[in-house]
Amino acid sequence: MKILYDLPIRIKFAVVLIPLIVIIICFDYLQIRHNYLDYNDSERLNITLKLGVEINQAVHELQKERSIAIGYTSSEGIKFLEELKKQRSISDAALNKFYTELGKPETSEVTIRHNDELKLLQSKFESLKGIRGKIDKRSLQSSQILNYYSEINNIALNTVDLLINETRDKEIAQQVHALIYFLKAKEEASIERAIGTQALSSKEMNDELYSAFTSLVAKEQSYIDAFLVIADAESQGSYSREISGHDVEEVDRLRNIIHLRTTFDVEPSYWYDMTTSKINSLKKVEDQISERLLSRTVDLSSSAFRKFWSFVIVDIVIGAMAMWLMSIIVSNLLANVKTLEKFTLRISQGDWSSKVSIPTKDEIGQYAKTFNVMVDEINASHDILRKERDKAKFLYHNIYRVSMLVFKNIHQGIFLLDRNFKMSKLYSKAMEKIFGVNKIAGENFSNFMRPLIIPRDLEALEMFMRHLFNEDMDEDVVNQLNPIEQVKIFNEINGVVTTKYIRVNFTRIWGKNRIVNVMVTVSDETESVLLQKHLEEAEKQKKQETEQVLSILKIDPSVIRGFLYNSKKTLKSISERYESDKESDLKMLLDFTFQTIHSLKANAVVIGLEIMSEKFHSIEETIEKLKAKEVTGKDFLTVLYEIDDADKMIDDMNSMLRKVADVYRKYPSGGSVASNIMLVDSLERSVKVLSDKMDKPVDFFFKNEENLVLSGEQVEQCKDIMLQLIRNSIKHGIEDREVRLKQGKLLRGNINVELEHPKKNTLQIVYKDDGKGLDVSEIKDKAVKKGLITDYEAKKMTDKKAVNLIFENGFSTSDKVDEHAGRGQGMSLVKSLIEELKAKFKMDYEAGKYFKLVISLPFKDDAGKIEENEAIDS
Amino acid sequence: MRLLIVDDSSIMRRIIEKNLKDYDIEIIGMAADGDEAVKLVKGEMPDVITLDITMPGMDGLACLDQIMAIHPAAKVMIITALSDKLTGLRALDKGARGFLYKPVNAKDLANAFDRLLKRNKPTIE
Repeated sequence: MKILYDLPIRIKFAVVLIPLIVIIICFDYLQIRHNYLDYNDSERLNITLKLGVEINQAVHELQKERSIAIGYTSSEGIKFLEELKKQRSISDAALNKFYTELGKPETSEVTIRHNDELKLLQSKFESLKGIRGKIDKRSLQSSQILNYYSEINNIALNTVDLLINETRDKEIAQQVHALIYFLKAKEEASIERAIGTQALSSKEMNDELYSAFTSLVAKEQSYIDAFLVIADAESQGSYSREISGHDVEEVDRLRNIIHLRTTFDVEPSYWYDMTTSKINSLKKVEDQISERLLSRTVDLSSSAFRKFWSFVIVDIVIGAMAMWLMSIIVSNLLANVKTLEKFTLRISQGDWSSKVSIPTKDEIGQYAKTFNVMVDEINASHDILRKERDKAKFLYHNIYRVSMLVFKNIHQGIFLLDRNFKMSKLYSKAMEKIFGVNKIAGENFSNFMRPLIIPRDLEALEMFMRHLFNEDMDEDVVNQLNPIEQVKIFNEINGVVTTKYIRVNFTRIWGKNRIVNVMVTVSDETESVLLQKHLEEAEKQKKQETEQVLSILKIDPSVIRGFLYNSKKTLKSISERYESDKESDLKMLLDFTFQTIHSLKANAVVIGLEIMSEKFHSIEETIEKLKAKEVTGKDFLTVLYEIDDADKMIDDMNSMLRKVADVYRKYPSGGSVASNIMLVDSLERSVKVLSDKMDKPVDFFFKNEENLVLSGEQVEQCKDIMLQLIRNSIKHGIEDREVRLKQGKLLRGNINVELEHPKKNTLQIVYKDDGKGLDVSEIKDKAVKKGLITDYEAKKMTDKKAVNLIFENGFSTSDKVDEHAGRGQGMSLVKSLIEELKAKFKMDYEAGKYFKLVISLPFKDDAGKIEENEAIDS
Repeated sequence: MRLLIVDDSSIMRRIIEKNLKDYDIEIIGMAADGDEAVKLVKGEMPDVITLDITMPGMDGLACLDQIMAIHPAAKVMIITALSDKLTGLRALDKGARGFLYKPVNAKDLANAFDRLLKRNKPTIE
């Protein structure tokens, strides 16, 4: 079946049509053949009928001859001699006619077919000559004559029967049978005539003859009856028309006389004439029937002939027409199918320009129409699509591409959140850079943020997003509570954890009346946050510097200078100790460093130099940390670094100090008077501060202020010297209130600074307090304690030498490091400051009474020349 | 519109009151703690409530729960010095509809109340 479905349409047509055509041809062949046979049949029947007619004619004549011969014999040669001769020549003429018919060429087919029967008939006819000779010699009896003739006639009639009884036409066959019955009836009538003639001629009738006669009549009657039953109306009409009248009635009357067998006084010739008349009538009927049969067979054959040809012609015409129509339809159909096929092929190759043209209005035509409509529609759709494509191109180039470029290059992370907090497929490229991941599209935002932020912020974020999508909540209100507005994220890239500061902002995107998305923008603020931190640090630095300046301005410059000088020295001593004591106990070294730094810090606190105290404090903390663990040499590096840092700070402050001094010098704003006032003022303030702190009321007097002719720098240094002296006096020199009262001194202590009139470019400054002066044994004890001298040396040392010990580096009369006299600070600083000024000094004292120091200070005169003086070594 | 101010600081209460002087709203009471606030809400059924989070005794969130149970239609604005956003978000969860950080000024308050009451902002440039 599948094979049939797959065949091309024209083969399918062939498969359907060829068997149909073959069937039609076969049917027509049968029809034509049938008609041909009918025609042949009729032709042959016509020939045999003609032959039968001749045979019948001969039989008819022989029947007459038989009756005459029997009459002749019965009358013993007296009667019928003439009639017999006459009859014989008529019979021969009839026989000749039969032979003539038989010799006709068209009859040859029949003679071949019925050869045996015809031969038999011919031999019988030829035996007639011998019979006639015997009759002439009167050697035959009547009954013998009857038998001979009857046999000939029987064979003749049988031959007729065989010849004509082979038609296929039922009607004709029936009439042929009717004819045969009629012929048989006629034969019986002829024999009746012969027997009647014999009986009447001999005037007697034996029983045998009688029964023969009776059965003859009965037989004759039954043949007539059979004929009448099957004969057609015309034959019946001929019969009733011909067999009537006087002669027929006479035959019936004479037959009854013979039947009675009483009188035979009827002339045999009368009987013969009457019966012959009747037989002639029968012959007439027979001829009419034969005639009609002949004409019918002729009709039949001609109609069969006509039918045959008309069938042939009609068949040809119909066949030709069928073929023609079929070829038109099929070729048209196939052509249309072919056109459609070509068209669809063209369409499949993308040629939409042409249309298919099939003029027929059948299904294919409809298909073609539909195709055209479809093509039109597809073309229209194509146009629309083309326009849409152009639009899309336009959109792509002008909007989408731009947005994509923006999304690719913008430094902000941008994406959309849907109501399930899923991140949009489209997001700006910066997202990947900011978060260091590629898995962004479709991720749940809180899952996305989980590893990056602390759990509390994550919980807040989830809550926040829920409120963000709640239409009842005001967007600004919700956004105020954005927990990741600025957040520190930790992300790991290739195992390195980095910290970033990001800012995340949320903006609602509304649909008709609900929030469909939230746009999220992420900016990496790490740089700006770090910058902010740097700024803060710079700010701190600046603040520190400002503080330094402020400290310097706030605090007495000489105090600072002293502090800085001392601190620098001390720090240097630490470094030196490190250098020399490399192998010593690190722990001890650390303790030493701590102690030293601690005292420096205390000094800074005392003078209110917060910036330095803070610095020392941080060094302390560093050391504190080191103390807690096993110390290694490496650890000292950090301490040294910090110490170095502090040292730099000291240098910074020194330069700052110098700058401030420069400012004062460059812009004296009132010249030396201003700096003098400042000097006096700062010394007075120092005394006040120190006396308040020590709870020792001290009066300060600065005399001959007008003699101060020093440069700004010198004034500053002088001030430092004075400040150190004041500090020493208040701390060590001036006694507590109780001691002073006991000794009968004034409760209030006294410090005097007096400027001599300057001469020879030298200014003499006299410093004096009314304290306890110097205690030589105390100084010696301290010096021994500090390791400056040995016990032995101390005992041997003169008082004058001993007092000079106070100028030694590392000497401090105070056990405690406090805000007023630092370790190693004090007179050694005074000494070095004096030496820096290239000045000389002279110390004087009286135990329990006073301490005095006279400084001879060289100064630049107006010409700027410095008097070089030898420093005295006291 | 009737307003109840809840804040444990009398200064803050005064500041809010003063800043709302020119705003079209009637202050029907002030409460210094949660219990007092709940009492006032029961008695007065105010339309609008400003609520502090950190208060002695019952804190703002617990107070908000009770207020919403008594008077669900009340429009509650949280005014707090707490910078913790999670607490603020929890307040929104519980039914607060406005939020403001301390310190407050008249303009911020007016804007926040406009949003809370869905009043059209006067077009001031």
